[in-house]
Amino acid sequence: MTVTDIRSLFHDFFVDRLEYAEADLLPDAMLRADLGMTSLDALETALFIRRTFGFQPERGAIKGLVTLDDLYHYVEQHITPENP
Amino acid sequence: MNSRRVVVTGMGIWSCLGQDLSTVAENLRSGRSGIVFDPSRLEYGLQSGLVGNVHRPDLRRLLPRKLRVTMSPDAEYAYMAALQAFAQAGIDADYREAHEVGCIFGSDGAMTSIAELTTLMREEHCSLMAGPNMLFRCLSSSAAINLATAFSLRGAVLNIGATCSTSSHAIGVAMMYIRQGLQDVCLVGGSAETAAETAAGVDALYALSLRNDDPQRASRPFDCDRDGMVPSGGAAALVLEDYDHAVARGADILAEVCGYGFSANGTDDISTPSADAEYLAMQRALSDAGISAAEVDYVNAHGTSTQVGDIAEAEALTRLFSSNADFSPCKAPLISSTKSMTGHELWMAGASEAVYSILMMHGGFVAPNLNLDNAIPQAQQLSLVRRTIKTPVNVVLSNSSGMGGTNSAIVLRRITH
Repeated sequence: MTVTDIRSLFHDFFVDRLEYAEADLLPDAMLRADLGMTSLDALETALFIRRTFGFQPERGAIKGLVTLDDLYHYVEQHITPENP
Repeated sequence: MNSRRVVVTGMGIWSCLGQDLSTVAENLRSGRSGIVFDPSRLEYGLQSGLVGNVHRPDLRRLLPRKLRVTMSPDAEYAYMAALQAFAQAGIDADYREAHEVGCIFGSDGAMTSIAELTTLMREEHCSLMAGPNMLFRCLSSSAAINLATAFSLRGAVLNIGATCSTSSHAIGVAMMYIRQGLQDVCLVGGSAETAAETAAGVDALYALSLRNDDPQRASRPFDCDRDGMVPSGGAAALVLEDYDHAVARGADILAEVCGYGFSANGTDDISTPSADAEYLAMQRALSDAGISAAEVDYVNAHGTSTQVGDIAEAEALTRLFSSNADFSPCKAPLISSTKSMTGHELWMAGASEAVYSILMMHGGFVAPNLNLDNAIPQAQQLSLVRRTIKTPVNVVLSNSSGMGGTNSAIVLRRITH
């Protein structure tokens, strides 16, 4: 799965579920400063990752990421052959 | 002891009688029932399919997501009622930023969210699958804490839970906070879900009406043919304020909350009301207000339409108004239970009935006790109102009684300034 695929899968979650503005979903958008991701949003993002990509992010991992691109690459690096 | 006076400067309502004060006032005046039959409740497993027809608000245009997703259904109702109450009181975001506003709200359970969480845990066996917002929707205090965050409140924020007298107690407690100078302004109220999950426990007590084929005649407080209550819900909110504070900022004063009384049954029977204890709570409320029974124009009775509840309350009211030294039959207060129209609004009932009473005060009428064809023997001496009566209403006694034997009464008085 490529980063483009991952970005596509995140798109509806960000727009429909977290209600982030579509125009703000730029690769270098900062999760907290630009998108307004709260600590509860970060936990919800971890749950989305678990359901969609089949792995559970480590505790606090999402809060430690800075940009959307960081998030997409984090997911890319953690996808396993069993959970492509 | 500080003797500050406490007044109402704003009200809001979200109920089966309407979603704004003027609609609700009109429906009270015309004696319109808000009760419907919902067949899905029978499919769920209840014996009674009756419920107050309360619409769920769409908050997407009013609140950002982060403030919505932590709200239980009753917190959503509470938000809509609070929005109206703050608007009427003229308390906007700038005021709340500059002043400490409290929030003492009543709720006694968020069953829908708890049922959702329980189902999810049994299916998923993983707490993480519940998501981060579930906790805040499951709390009894969901309405109070969500109101505090949605309106950025900085005063005392707490939930009161006391079964069906919950929000009457909330009004009384907030009144004491203001009287004692702990707060100048406080949002009070109550909220309740209408979900089948909430009604299931009451249904199991055979306390719900089974008049499924005749919803609008199902809730019949003090009538010989009553067969139980009709569950309902929504939210009611009032802005309580120190009188001098309200005058200083030029607020319109809707009424004074001048008395609060409470009692507990002191028995080992959790579901049977006590006439003695209800009498005591009402007597204390009148005493606290410095008002005699003869001065009461209208009693908004608890009147749930249950077998034992109505008998106990009728006995308490008869004693209260016939034993007073300066009482005479011509001074008998008018009495009705608005639950005949709304059903039992559970945790919000004390607050909603305060709102209904103040609407009657300002409309110059007393709403009817619907479906009262043959009054029970214990109510024969009471002036129960069968049809809307146009009359000045200056002093109201609002009575509430809850399972577990927790009773509360408040006195409202019309004032001009």
